This record gives sequence, C-alpha cells and structure tokens, in this order.
Amino acid sequence: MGKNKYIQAIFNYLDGLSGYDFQKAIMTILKILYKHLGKDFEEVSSDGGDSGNDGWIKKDNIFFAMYSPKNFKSSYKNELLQKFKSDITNLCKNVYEEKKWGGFINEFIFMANLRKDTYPSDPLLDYDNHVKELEKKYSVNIKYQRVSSKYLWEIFNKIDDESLYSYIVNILNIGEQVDTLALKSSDLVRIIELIAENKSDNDEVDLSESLNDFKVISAQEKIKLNDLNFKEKRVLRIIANLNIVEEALKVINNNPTLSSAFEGFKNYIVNLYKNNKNVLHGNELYEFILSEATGYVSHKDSKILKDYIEYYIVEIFEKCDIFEKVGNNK
Amino acid sequence: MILPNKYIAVQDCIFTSSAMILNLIKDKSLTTDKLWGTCDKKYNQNEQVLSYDKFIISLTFMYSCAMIKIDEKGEISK
Repeated sequence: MGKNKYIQAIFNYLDGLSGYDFQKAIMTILKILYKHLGKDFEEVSSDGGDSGNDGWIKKDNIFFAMYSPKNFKSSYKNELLQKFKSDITNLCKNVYEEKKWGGFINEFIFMANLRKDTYPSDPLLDYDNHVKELEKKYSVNIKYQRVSSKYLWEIFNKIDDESLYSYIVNILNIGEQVDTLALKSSDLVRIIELIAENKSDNDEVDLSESLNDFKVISAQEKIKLNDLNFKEKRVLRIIANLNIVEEALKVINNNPTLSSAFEGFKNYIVNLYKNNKNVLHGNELYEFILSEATGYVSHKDSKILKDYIEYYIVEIFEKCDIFEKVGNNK
Repeated sequence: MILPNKYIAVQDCIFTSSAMILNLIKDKSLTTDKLWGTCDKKYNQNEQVLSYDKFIISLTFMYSCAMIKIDEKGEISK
C-alpha cells in the first residue's frame, strides 16, 4: 500500500504539466519502469522533426507518442485527433518506408495528458478509419491504443517495489508533494489533543486575542509582500491541501476542550509573529515561527510534527492573521 | 467558540448550536437527558453535528443569557 502515496503524487504532478514537460516526465518514468521490468526503453530525440515516435520499447517494437495540450480550449478534441493522425502517419512512413526501428510496429500507444478528463467520444470512428487507411496502404495490421497518463497504472500494477517509486519521485523532484499527501486530518486533530493534554490551565496562553480584522488577500500577494518567495512553492502546495485542516477543525470545534486548545495555539502563533516581526523578516521569520511552534508541542518525532504544525501555520497565514497584508499599516 | 470566526464555521459555533437546541425545545419542558436524546436523534443521524460536550456548553450559554429556564423539577423550557 505504501506505493500509492508516491503514485498519487506522480499523477498530481503529471496533471499540471503540458507540452514538452509532460513528454519529458513520461519518458523519465517509462525509462525507469521498463528498466525495472528488464526491457530497454529508448527515448527518441525530436531534433529531426516529429517522427511519430517519442520513445519505444526496443525488445517489443512498441512505440509511444505523447501529446499534452497547453490549454483546454473547445477545439482540443479535434487537435487530439489531428495529432494522433500526424503521429501514426509519420511513424508508419519511418518504419515501413524508411525501415527505421526494426521495420515493423507491434503496437502504437498514443498518450495524451487529459488531466481529469476522459477521451472524447469518437462516434464517426475517425481514429479507427485512419488506422485502417494506413493498414491498407502498407498491407499490415496495426495494433494501437489511445490512452491518458492513467495508462501508467498498467505498469504500476506490475511493480510493488516502493523504493522504485520513491526513486522516481526523487528524480522528478516532487518529494515534498508526497510529504503533504501523507498527512491526515485525524493526525492534525491529534496534535491539538497533545496540546490540550500537555498544557495545564496555569500555562500562559493569551486567549484575549480577538479577531477584529476580516480582511484577507491572496496568498501569492502575501508571499510577495512579505518576501517569502523562498517558501512560495511549499506554502502554495500546502494551501492547495488545506482541506485537511478544515476537516480537522470541524472535529476540533465540536469539542470545547480541543477548540480552546486550538484557540490558545493559534494565539500563541499570532503572538510569536507580533513579538518578532520587528526583529526578523521573510523566510527567516517563517522558519522561526515554525521552529518555536513545533517546540510548543511535545512529541517524540519532531520531523513529522513539524509538517503538521506547518499546516496550522499556513492555515493561519492564509486566514491573514500572521504576516503583513495590503492596506495593513501595522 | 461562541460566535463564528475565520476558524469556526457558522454551523460549528455555540451561537448556532444554541439556536438548534432552542428550536427543539419549542413550548415543551424537557429534562436535560430527554432534550439531549431529542437533539442526538435529530442532528447526529449521519454524522456528529452536535457533541454532548457542545450541547452542555450551549445549555450553559443559553441559561447565562436567560434564553432558557430550569424549574425545580430540573426541566428546561424557554
């Protein structure tokens, strides 16, 4: 089961890619996966124009072509068909006329980045008809598939080696996405339970802090305004996953003890910011708050704890209770 | 957690849970136990919307604001 968090991170990453970036990422993944399966996957350079072959499995004569539209305008369905036609036509010409790549096609796999979408319907059988024309022209049978990036599941299902997925994630440089996906709202609730258990009534937590300002600006603006550019990617990724904090807060706010502990923790973070904003700035201030807030909670595994605490800090950041915002003169 | 704010949704604050409880009391006089049973049945069918802790705090809040009364038999009414 451990491989799933890596696979989810890979698909999330692929969904956000377009053009050559998508092709490059798929090639990297296929190369690693097929090597693991004992097959040689070769990437084909596009220097000499579009050959209809972006990469192929030498042993099996299976050819891959990639397509990832830059934006999903209404004409993309037609573009998809035209790209398919152009790729398979060029491939047949290269293989059957110029005798490249072994001189025969065992299978042609056309992979498009459809994000969350599925392939458009093909009631007029345009894809089939075009392949039939080519089959007639070259007197061959051509097996083909048109797939989305989810095709990778077929290969993922054959491999259970978690370390391989971890390796792919590191090569693609998306390790942080796996970290954020691994967090659960129940664990976020547990953090507040730990605070509630460990803080006695005598602990000095300023509960008088009231929320008198409901002005909120976009996270991007705030990041820019507060020189948090070094943290931008991570903060924005956490913001995209803040629904787990919302889920945790639902549980916390149904329990007065936990709600009070969260309120105290939130005010502690706000006070940390207020007391240090004149001394520290930007990334340094962010790191300081994170480190101090992590120390506020007792837990044996401080690395995991830090990830959870950062979610709460980003939630408070996103709600604009820490760090400057436009129009705030403080 | 009495009033909603940026972290406490309207449906999660005591102000709202008090209104939910008040809505069930209507013109009746109910013991705490009976009132909790009615609330639990009405609001916690699919997921827990109103915990017992929050129910008790809401009663305390409503009593403090004179929204409810408790008679000598321990029955709660508006």
